[in-house]
Amino acid sequence: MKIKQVLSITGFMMAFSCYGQAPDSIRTFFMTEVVVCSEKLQSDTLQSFYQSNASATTETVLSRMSGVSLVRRGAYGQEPVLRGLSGGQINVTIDGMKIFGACTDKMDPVTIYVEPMNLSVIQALPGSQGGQFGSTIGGSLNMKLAEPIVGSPGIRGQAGIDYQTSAGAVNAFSSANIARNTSAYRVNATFRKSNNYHAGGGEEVAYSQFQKLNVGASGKWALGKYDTLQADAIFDQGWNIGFPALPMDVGTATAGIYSVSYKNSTPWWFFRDIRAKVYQNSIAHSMDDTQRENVPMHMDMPGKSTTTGGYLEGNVGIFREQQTTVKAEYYSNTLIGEMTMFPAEGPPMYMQTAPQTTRQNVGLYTQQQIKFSPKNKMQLSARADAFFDRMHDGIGRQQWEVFDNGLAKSTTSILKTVNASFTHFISGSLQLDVQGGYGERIPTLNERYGFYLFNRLDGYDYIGKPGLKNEASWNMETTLSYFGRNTEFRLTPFYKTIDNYIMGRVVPDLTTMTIGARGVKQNENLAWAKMTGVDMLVMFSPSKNIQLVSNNKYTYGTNSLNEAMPQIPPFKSVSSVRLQLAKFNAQAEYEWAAAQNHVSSSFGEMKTASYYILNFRSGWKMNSLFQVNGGVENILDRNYREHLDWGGIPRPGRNFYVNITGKF
Amino acid sequence: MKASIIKTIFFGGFIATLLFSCSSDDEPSINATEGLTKISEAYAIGAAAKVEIWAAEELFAGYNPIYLFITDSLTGETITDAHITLSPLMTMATMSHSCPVEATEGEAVNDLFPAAILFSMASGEMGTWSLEAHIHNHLKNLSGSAAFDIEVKATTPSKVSIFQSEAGQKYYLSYMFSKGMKVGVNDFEVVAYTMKNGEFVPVETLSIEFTPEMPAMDHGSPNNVNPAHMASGHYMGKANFTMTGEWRLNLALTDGETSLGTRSFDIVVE
Repeated sequence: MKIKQVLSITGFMMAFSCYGQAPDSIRTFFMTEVVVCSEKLQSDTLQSFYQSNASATTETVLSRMSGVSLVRRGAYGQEPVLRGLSGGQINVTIDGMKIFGACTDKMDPVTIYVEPMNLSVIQALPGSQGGQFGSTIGGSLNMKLAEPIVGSPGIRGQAGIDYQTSAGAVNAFSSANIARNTSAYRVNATFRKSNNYHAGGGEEVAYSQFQKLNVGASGKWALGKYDTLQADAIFDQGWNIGFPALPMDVGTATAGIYSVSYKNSTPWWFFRDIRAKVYQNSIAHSMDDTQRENVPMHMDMPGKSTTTGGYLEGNVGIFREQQTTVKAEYYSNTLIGEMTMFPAEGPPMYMQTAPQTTRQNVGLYTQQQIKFSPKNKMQLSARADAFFDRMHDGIGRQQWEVFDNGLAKSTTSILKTVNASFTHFISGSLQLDVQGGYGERIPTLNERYGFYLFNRLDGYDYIGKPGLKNEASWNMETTLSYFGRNTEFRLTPFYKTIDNYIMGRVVPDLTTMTIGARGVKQNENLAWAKMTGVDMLVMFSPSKNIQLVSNNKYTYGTNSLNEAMPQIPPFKSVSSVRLQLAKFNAQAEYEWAAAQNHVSSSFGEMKTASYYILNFRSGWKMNSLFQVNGGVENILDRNYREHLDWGGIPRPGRNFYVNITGKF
Repeated sequence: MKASIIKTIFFGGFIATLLFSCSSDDEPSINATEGLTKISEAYAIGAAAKVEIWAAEELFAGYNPIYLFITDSLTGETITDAHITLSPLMTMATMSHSCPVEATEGEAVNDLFPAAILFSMASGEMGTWSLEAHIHNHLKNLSGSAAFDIEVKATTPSKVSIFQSEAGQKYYLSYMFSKGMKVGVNDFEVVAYTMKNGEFVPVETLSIEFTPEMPAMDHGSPNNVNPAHMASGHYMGKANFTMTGEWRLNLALTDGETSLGTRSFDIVVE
C-alpha cells in the first residue's frame, strides 16, 4: 500500500525486542512497500539513527526524519514542521485518527500525547502525497499504533529506565504483550520527569521542566479466520510543562484517545478487504502563569478539543492487478479556548480566545496503482472534502460580532486534493520517481475565529478572519534513488507554490488586548508563497560492521511580500557513523545547521547563526535479557539554538545519558 | 382519526385563547408590571387615583426609567388616560433642588405611564428626596397630587456626572443600557440635560466621541459607534465589549463649539 516515499521508523519496543538479529540490508528499507512489516526494519542502522536513544520522545524521533523539523518553544511540546510547513498546513494523525490540540498558543502539538511506546511506525508523506490522511498542502504525519500480537500464549515485554544529566531527567518505560491463540492484549506505560535543563556553558534554563505519564492499552480479538476486532486506548497527562520562550507554562495537558477498529480480509462485493475504525479523543489543556515572576496580571487559559470520527477503507479489485484503494471518513471537532484574567481590583475578566466552534468534515479518497510494465508504474490519488464550520451561540460569538455584526452562523467549504506519481526503474540500482499534485487546506479554526491570540515571536495579538480563503498548493518533486553494493542514496528536490498563503498583517487601528503586545495582526491571504528545497539521505557501508548515515534537509521559502516565509529551517545535516558488533555498538554523530539569514522580520524572526554539535552513543548487550545504552550529546557543550527555536532560548548543553532495558 | 385530532387541537386552542384573553382583561396589572419592582405607592388626593411607581430596579443616582400604574381609588379600575407631572425634590439643610424629569402624557402604554427621572445625587446624610406626582385624571376630569417618600441609592461607580463648562453652564449627564450589558455589541443611550433659567432642558447639540477602555488592561475595543442625538437630549450609540470585567466609557464632549472635556463612567460587564 505504501510506496517507497514513505519514511518509516519503528517504535523502539519492536526495535529492541528484535535487537541482535542480523541487520537486514539497508535496501530492505528503501524497497519496502508495506510499512507494517516493521520487524524487517529492526536494528536497522537507519532505525538506530532515528531512534537515537531508547528513551527518545516522539518529537525527538520526528526531528531526525527526512524533511521534518520542530518549532521549539520549550523542552517539551515541540511542533512538527514538514518541509517548512506546520500547523493546519499538515495533517498529524494517530493511526488515521484526527486529533487537534486544545492550546490556542500551539503549546500542545498532538505529538506530545503519544509516546514511542504507543507506536509502531511514523509515516511522513510530504505534499499532496499525504491526501490519504486529509486534505492538505504540506503533507501528513501519521503515527501508527503498535498492535497486540496474537500467537502462542505467553507474555513478552520489556521495561527500561533512563537518566539524563543536563535536566536531571528520569524516564521510565515499559510494555508487555499478552498473547492468546485468538486474542492478544498490549499494555504500555511511559513516565518522564525532567527538571530545568542546562544550556551549553552551564546556564540553567528556567521554566524548562516537565513531567508526564502515558498509559496505553490495546486488545485484539480474532472473530473469524479473516476478521479481527481491535480496541485501543491511550491516556496521556503532562503537568508543569515549562515553556521558557513563552509568557506562560502548561499546568496540565490531558488527552484520552480511544478507538475501535475492525478488519476483514474476506472478499466481499468489490472489496478485497475492509478496515473500519471509529474513534473519539478529547484534550484538556490549561496554561498557567502562577510559577512566573513579575506577571502583570494572572490569568487562566484552559482549552478543550474533542474529536469524534470514523473511517472505512478498503482495497477494491476492479482492475485485477491494478490495485485500487478507497476511503471514506468523517470527523467532528469541537474547540473552545477560554481566558480569565484576575486584576488586582475589580471582577475577573473573561473571554473566549478560541470561540466555541464545531468543525465537521466528510472526505472521500481514492488511490489507484497502475503497473505499466515491470519497470514503470504509476499511482494516482484524488480526494474531495466538505467542511462545515459552525460557531456556537454565546460569548465567543458575541465577541465576534464586535468585528462583524453579520457573521455567518456557519460556513461550508469544498476542498480538492489530487496527486500523481510515476516510478521508473532506470536500472537495477537506479530508480526515478516523479511526483506532482495539487492540494488545498482549510484555515484552522484559530486562523478563522481566533480572538486576540498572542504570538510571543512577533509580539502581536492575532485575530482571525472568518472569510479566509483556503490555501491552495501545487507541488512537485523528483526522487533519484541509488542502491549500490555498499552505498545508497536518495535525493529529492522539491518545489511548491502556495496561493492564498495565510499570514498575519498589521491592523493599525486596533488596540492590543495583551499587556505589552506591539499591536494587532489579522490573518490575511497573501497572493502567494513559493518554496523549494531538497531532502537527501546517504548511507554508506564500507564494511559489514560499519555504516554511515547522513540525513540532510533544506528548504527556502519566499512570499508575495518579497520576504522570507517565516519559520523555515536552514540547511541542516545530521551524519552518523556506527560500529555494530555482536554485543556492542557505538555511534558518533555530527549535527550541523547553516546560518539562517533569510528571515521574516515582520514575523519577528531573528537571524540564526550556524552551529554544530557532536554526539556519541553506545550500546552493550549484556545477555539475552539486558541491554545498556549510554552516551553523551553535545559533547563540546556548545551554546546554540536552531532557527525554529523561539525566544532565543539555547538548547541543552552537554548531556550524559544512560539507560538500561530488560526484556521478559 | 386525523381529522379528529386536528379538531381537538383547534378546539383546545380556541378554549385556551378565550381563557387567556379573559384573564388579561381582568387582571392587567399582573402582566403590565411583570419583571418590575414596586418602588412606592400613594393616593393622589383629589384625583380619585391611587398611584404606584414601578421601575426595573431600585432608584439610584442617575437616569431611571420609571413606570406609573394608576388605578381609580374607589373601583380599582386601571386609568389609562391621564396627564402626569412629576416633581422630585431634594431637601437639604440649607437649600433644596430638583432634577431633570421626563414624563409622558395622554394614553398609557400597556396600562403603564412611562416616565424617567435623572437623579443628580443619592439620598443620604446630605438630604432626602421626595417625589410628587400631579395627576390629571382625564377619565373623571379630576386633579390631585400624590406624594412619595423615596430612597435614591448611591451606586459605585457613579452613573451620573454633573459638571460645568468654563462659561459656568451646568450639565447633567447619565447613560443607560436598556437591554443590559453583555460581551459583544451593545446599544446604549447617553442622556444630557442642562440648566437654563432655572429649568432643566435637554441638551440637543452635543457631539460625543466615545472610546471604551478596560482600565485594568489598558486596552479598548474596535468598531464602537459614537452616540448621536435622537431626540430630547437622548443620544444613541454602540458600545463593544470584547470580554467581561470592568470597562470605562470615555465620552469626549463638545457642545456646539465648546469643549466640555472627557467624562467617564465605569461599568462592569458580566
